[in-house]
Amino acid sequence: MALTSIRLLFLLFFAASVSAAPVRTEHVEAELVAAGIAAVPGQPLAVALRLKMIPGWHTYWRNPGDSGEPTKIEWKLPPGYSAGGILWPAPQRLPAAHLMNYGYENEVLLPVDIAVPAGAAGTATLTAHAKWLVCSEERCVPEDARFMLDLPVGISAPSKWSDAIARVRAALPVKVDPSWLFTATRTRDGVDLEVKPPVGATLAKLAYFPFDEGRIHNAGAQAFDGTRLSIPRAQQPAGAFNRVSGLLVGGPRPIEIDVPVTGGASDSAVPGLALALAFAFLGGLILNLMPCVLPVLSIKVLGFIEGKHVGANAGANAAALRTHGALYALGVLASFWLLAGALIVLKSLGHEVGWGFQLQSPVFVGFLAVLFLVLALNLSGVFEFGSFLPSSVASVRPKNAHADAFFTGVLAVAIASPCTAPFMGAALGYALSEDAVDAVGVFTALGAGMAAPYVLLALRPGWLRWVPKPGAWMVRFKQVLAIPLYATVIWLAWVFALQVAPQEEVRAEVKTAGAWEPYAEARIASLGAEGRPVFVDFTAAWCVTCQVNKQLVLGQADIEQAFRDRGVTLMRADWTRRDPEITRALAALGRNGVPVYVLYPPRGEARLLPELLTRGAILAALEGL
Amino acid sequence: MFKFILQILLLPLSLSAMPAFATALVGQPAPQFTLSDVAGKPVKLADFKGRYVVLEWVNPDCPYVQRHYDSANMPNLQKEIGGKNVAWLSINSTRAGHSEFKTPEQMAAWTKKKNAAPAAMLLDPDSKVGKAYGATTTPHMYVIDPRGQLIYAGAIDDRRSASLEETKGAKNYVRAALGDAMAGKPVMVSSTVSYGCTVKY
Repeated sequence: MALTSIRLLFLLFFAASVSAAPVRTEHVEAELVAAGIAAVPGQPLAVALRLKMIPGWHTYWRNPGDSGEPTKIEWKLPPGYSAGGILWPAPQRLPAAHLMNYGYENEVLLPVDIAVPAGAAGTATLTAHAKWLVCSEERCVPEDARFMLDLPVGISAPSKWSDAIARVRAALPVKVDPSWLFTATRTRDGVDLEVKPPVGATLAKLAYFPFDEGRIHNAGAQAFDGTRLSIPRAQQPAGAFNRVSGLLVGGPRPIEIDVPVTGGASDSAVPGLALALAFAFLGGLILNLMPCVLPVLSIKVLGFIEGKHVGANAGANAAALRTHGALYALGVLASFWLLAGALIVLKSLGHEVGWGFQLQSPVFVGFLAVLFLVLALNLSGVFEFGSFLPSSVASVRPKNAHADAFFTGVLAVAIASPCTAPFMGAALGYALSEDAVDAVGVFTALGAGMAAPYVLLALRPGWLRWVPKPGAWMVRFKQVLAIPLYATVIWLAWVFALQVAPQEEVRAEVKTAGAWEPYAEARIASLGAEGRPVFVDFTAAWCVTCQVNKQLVLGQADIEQAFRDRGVTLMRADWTRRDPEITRALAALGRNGVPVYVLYPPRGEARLLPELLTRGAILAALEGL
Repeated sequence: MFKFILQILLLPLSLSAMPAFATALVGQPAPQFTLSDVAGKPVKLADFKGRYVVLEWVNPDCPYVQRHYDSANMPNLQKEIGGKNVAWLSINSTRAGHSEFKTPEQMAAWTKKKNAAPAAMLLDPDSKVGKAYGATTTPHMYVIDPRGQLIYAGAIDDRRSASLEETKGAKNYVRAALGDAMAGKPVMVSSTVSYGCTVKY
């Protein structure tokens, strides 16, 4: 005891360097240093391994890159003491020919926290065996050194290493705070990481250092345009590149991120532009068959019959039809261009927008409901447009056949928006993640697909033979066609009611919907940690496909039983109204519309299920758990 | 019916997920090469068609290579595998002019001194074959099946270390890959992160 006190006094007096004597190897001067002159019971003791390499030589980070080996420290500590891992400072990129290493040149301090027990007394003797690989461009040499650091236990004061250690620790990577937003999307060559720094912050350069080896092409250039970092993947990967997990260096302080890679969890590729265009065209075609578009198409069919009826001679009739078809197509395309333009503008403004966003606005829904009611009443024969509204709408519709065709196209698009047809989700995701030119292309293809059947009919009027001859039945048929319109009005009214109701009531409705609980991102993670899978239904009241799937598949007793048998927690993410959390979750899955069905297994990648949900798809996915 | 259409439509998507590369990829044909052995005799990969081939990137000055040779781990594996009619080709891709470059005579002497038993010790002084395979470290191991397909690429074992004592109890990936393939099973571990010194390109 007396000896310790004398030693403490000695240390205080001379402010001696608290370190084991430096060990000089062929290429490195190594030393174990402590930030304080004593170990304080119950408080962590900050120490560091100091490695000073001779010029041209380097040691390695936790992931050494294409070759090399991370520095290791083996500790021998008094009972009750324990050492944490090395707190790795951000490394440098160290190129060697066409290869890349991650490590440190010149001098590096590798901090370690030593836990000192509350009951510690006497002297703390810290014994360490450090091993490192030190390399130049020419040669690699494994070296090691043993250290013994004696520290008195008691009241501490900063040592001469205190500032240096504090500086290094202040620059250590920090866990990213939630004001940063990241989306990682798989591309053909790797992963694109969208980086949204907090408001006010801008980034000029950025480099990604992965924790896991063998996922990225280490030496590949990481292009950064201010918002998007393109990370090339390893050509012969040693594991799936499923997470962007590592350091981002370039901002004010290195940050530690862990972002799941999306862009086809089940279909592991984002389509190229040509493929996206093809999908969009197909999606557009299928839009014609969607329940929410059918009523308008019915009106369109009527228009065709009338058009055919009007012309006296066949030639004039065909010409009129061609013009009609072309104008309809133009109306559809113009609307899609308008939507694309709006999406691009809104996206650039940083809004969280998604496909179907028009129907998230109660004003828009209310307007549509009224419009449909007027149309339905018209079809029922309650009034005729010509006599009812002499101005605006009425005069546009029957009197100007050209404008009628154009606006029918516009109307078709407006109401098609809630139906994210199969295949279209991926195409839209592509459009929104790529630049404006691509987005316009994808939307044009969507419009072309949607207009195609009518253009075809206009060019080949002969095919109109299949359309029945006009007659007295038309009045009844018109009245029958009003039924789906009325149904649409009722549906829109329901959507409107949900949108204007207080949020709590909507949530409550979800809550009471049987086994389903409302979407909560944090809960998915905590359930996963307990080893429990989660199924999420991304839905909206205005999405017809969602409602069909809910009725025909998700609501079936045997499906619910299958979920129960597998211990799957069911969640419903309701996007009827704008919800930033759900918008973000959809974006993370590479989607911008609903429905989206995802099964989160306790471990591994989230599995996306088809948008036209089948029992088979669900059962197969559950089988894979 | 719908499912069928969906599958047809998704087909090009899955194909587009497999870009072509010049480097050696597991599951694809191993790049062909002709290199001179230490006696100056040309050795062609194609000569070994119908047999398993192990490629080993080697550099006598690398501490990791030294670990596997000084512990006799690599020579023993060469002998053990050579007995199973497997062709073991050691390749030194150190570029001519590098301080660690070895002449054919030096490589021959080293092979003899270490009791190594490769089918051939090959020299790749312009590093062409090393780059074609994407070899990054010494050692870096590749296994090719009798059809010429690459079935393993990566480390020799699961112990990233240059110290001799680490070899004991290590899982040798090359032995495991050959074992799986010869038993007619798919190779369990077909790609790992190789470790060691940088190939001296």
